[in-house]
Amino acid sequence: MMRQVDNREYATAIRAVISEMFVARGDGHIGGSFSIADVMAVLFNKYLREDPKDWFVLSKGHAGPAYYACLYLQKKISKKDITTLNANGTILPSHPDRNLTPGVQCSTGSLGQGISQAVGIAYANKLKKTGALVYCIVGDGELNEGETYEALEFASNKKLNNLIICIDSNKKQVDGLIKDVSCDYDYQKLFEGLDLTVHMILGNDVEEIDDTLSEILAADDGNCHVLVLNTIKGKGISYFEDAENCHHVTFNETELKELTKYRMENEGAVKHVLGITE
Amino acid sequence: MSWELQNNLDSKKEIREVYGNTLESMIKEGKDIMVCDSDLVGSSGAGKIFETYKENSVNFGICEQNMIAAAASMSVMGYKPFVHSFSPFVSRRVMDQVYVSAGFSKNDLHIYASEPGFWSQYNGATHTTFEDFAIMRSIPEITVVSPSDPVTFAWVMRYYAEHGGVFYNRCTRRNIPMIYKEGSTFAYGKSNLIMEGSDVLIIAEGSMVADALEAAKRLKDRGISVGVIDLLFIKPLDKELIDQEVRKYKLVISVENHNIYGGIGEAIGAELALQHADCEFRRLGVHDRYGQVGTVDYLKDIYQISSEHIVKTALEYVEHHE
Repeated sequence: MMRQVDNREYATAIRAVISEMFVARGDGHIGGSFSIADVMAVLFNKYLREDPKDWFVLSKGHAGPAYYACLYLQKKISKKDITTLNANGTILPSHPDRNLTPGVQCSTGSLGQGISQAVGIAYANKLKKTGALVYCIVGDGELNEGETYEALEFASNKKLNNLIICIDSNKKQVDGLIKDVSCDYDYQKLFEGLDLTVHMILGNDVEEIDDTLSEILAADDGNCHVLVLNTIKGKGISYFEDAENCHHVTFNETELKELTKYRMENEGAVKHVLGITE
Repeated sequence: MSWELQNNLDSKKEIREVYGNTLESMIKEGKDIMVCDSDLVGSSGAGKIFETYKENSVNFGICEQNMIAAAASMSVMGYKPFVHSFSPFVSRRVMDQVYVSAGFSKNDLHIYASEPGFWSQYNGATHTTFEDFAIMRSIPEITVVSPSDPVTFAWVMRYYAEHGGVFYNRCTRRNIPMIYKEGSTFAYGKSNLIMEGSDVLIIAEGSMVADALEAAKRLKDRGISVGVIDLLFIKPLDKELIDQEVRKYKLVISVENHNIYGGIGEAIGAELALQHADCEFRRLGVHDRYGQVGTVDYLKDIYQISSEHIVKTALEYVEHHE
């Protein structure tokens, strides 16, 4: 897919659409949806192809709103659906459902399983020589789940060079900091220890993400690559960035104002991405 | 559906051999089969597939959770995945993966859950499942089968390969009697009335069908007329056949290599109640116990689910009502 708009503007548009969903709903997984908006922007704006059909797996399924924002910007879901997050009868449940939402490729939300689905799909595509690539976003809290290591071992063993795994290292999980609840990971050693190629990068910097992905695809070195995205939970709105815990928030009045303000200020980006000119 | 009985229990076949051979013939026929295992390649009977058909097989290592989710997801590319492990590792350990990545996702998956219940023999409680029917029955749209012999086992595999869906196929790997003649075919969701009678109806699952037939023979010698149903489908339950048959008998006995909680006894009992069936009902199964080590005969005896116990249950009823 050709780059349509500036990646930075795409990321802003994603956050603005998520804000609209959350204002309509009154609560949501804002922290992890905002932290991945930049990598989502780069993937959906530039990398995910229709032919061959690439695969996107949001293993950290609770960031569904970020996925839906991209599908809206791609015009796979409609404007009226955006305000129905988690409403009765919605096609936008908090966690993605491949049989319910147009454009969603995998049903995720049970942590650990998305990455397993991704390795299965990558291996099947490799065997069938489709040329398709699989991009999978895994939460750093999700790495608590033992199944993620089973999947990484498999990716390593099968040299899944058509799979790119992005770890959203926002450093916080529901009950606190990852290093307190789980442990203080050394991702470089951890993933290198599994014989995977590791890239430690700034995960809220669209240029660094874009450059890294371009290098990986150009090198085509036969390895499975892991991008550890150093991100900020709630990135985009300083109020949430500074919050101790913004994993899932039932928004108070101040917070709703923050979200509304963000949406209003960035409506232009949404329209631009959608290709609508005022 | 067209099946024919062997009429004796003398010819036997190893299920693991049937598993390997059936997979191989389907691959040779050009079916898009993906055979998966979790470090038990040498045990399932599919070892030759992993040696010969590299493009149709993958060993996930001792990673059952990843295997279930990854294998089921391979079906999005047109594969019909077959996974195997000992029954606890493809039921208890992976219920959520079966629920989310196979069932809810509407992917295809055939799970061969081997050595269920007392068939775990010397592996004991960790390797014994007396709860897997309960686990799998409760997941929406999953088909749960318990083949009684090599012919039904192979038929289930082929049915899945043709039609897809999620199948939990619970069966030993061992040498077990042929109940049906080679080439017999069956129907989805249908149980088989393999013996007709008028006094006692035994409804059995899996390898307990052979025990039911033995019990029937001994009861017949005592002048009791016995019917036997090979349930085959645990879910969906063949309500039609059950409703039709139970009306002809005074006593119905269910027999299962499973806990009485969540097993076939509960399923059949509920059906009898819903139909206001006018018969007595006894259920033989494991009474809320963990597994333990021992031979198959010893374990059947300990858990009171041997042919001996079926006979005893029937006779107690008959003597009481004479």
